[in-house]
Amino acid sequence: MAELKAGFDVVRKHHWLWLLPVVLSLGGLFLNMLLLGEWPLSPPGLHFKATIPASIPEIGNIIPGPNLGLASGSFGVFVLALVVTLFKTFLNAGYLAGGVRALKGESVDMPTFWADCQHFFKRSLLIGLLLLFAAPVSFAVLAAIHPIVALVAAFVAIIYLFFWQIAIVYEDLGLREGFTRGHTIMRENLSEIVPLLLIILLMSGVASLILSPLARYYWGHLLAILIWSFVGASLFIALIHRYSELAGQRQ
Amino acid sequence: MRKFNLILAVIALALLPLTCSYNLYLLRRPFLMQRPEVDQSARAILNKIPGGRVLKYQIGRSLLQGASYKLYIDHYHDGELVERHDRSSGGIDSWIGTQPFAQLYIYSGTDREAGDCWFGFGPAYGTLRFKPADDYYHPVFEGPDKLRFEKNKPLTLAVLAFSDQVWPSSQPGPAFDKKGALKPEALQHGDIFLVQLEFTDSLAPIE
Repeated sequence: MAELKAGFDVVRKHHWLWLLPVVLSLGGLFLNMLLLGEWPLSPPGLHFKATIPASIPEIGNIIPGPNLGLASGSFGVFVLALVVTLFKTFLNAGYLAGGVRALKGESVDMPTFWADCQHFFKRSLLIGLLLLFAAPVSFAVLAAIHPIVALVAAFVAIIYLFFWQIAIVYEDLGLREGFTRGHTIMRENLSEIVPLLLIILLMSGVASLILSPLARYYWGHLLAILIWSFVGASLFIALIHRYSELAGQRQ
Repeated sequence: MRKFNLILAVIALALLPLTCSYNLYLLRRPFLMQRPEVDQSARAILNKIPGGRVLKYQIGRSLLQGASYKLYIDHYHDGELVERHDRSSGGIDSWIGTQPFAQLYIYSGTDREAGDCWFGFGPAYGTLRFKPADDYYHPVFEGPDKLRFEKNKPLTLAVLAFSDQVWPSSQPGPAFDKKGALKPEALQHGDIFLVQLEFTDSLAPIE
């Protein structure tokens, strides 16, 4: 598909798009080692994790992550997790904006990236908080009524929410306008978007099957980080590319 | 953009040796388990022993992958080794499964109504258990605060000793029967049993 090719082309040209996920994954790996006292290798066995990268692709998205249950009772770890989450939200905002710039052929330097992070941080954080609190509660309530109701609601929620953040960043909209714009584009072009999402899910699933056994070894884990950072970033850009085409058609 | 790429590449190249050398440090060190926690989820095995407690220790899986172990009990009498009783040995893959940690339990309890004391230890509940069913003896049990393993060196998991009451006089000798059970009638004043766990050869792959 043209979007996928465009995604890989853009990432090949703009190296920072895969270098930033590499840095984040290595930083996350080091932090995990500090907390767990060991390199969190992938456990034995076949693991399948399909995902649609909607932010900075990290290796934890497709291979089984470490279990931090050991330290979860600690207040210090809770504060650290909070700080890391905020920092990632900050970077994600700039990454998405940078991806849009790269797609438009603009070059992204450090000051531009930083300014984008600051510009979109508040809106990204609000979306994150809304999803963090609203999604599990709604899902639990609906699942209590009937599991199928919860599944249908989850599907509808994906339709309404998927392009929310992309719309906000791509067109610099407010929360409400971005929500309306995002779900309108998704709803009107569902037949075109769903196949792309399925292909991305399939590709990430295949990547997970190949990279999980590799990540059982130290060198393999590092290689998996490198591969997934490139592939995940390309899939992410492919999504933005699809959105940009649909948004352009609508105008 | 080139400068941005360069900054990120430099950070990645700095993180790479940092991560690898820290991993080398983690693999080389004798490994230490964290302070044990009283495991509430293990209450099931203590249902009949209200005064019992379970200590759970955890060891990271990467330190144990490919390692093998020996678990045995050294029986001392007045400071002299009387016998070494092998309990179990082998690879420890089954301890880990797909979990990120290997669990090691040490548990003890006293049933005052029935008048017996017991303790157990091992990678899972109920692996090993002594039950001196005579209220004549009073085992003294302590789980260590921390466990620090070194390759090919045994570590004492638990000490079983007895109070200095009046004991039947007999010559010191083996206290285990053929099935591996402790014979209460063979216990002597001055007997001490050390439960030893040893990780062998393949532990700590970096030499």
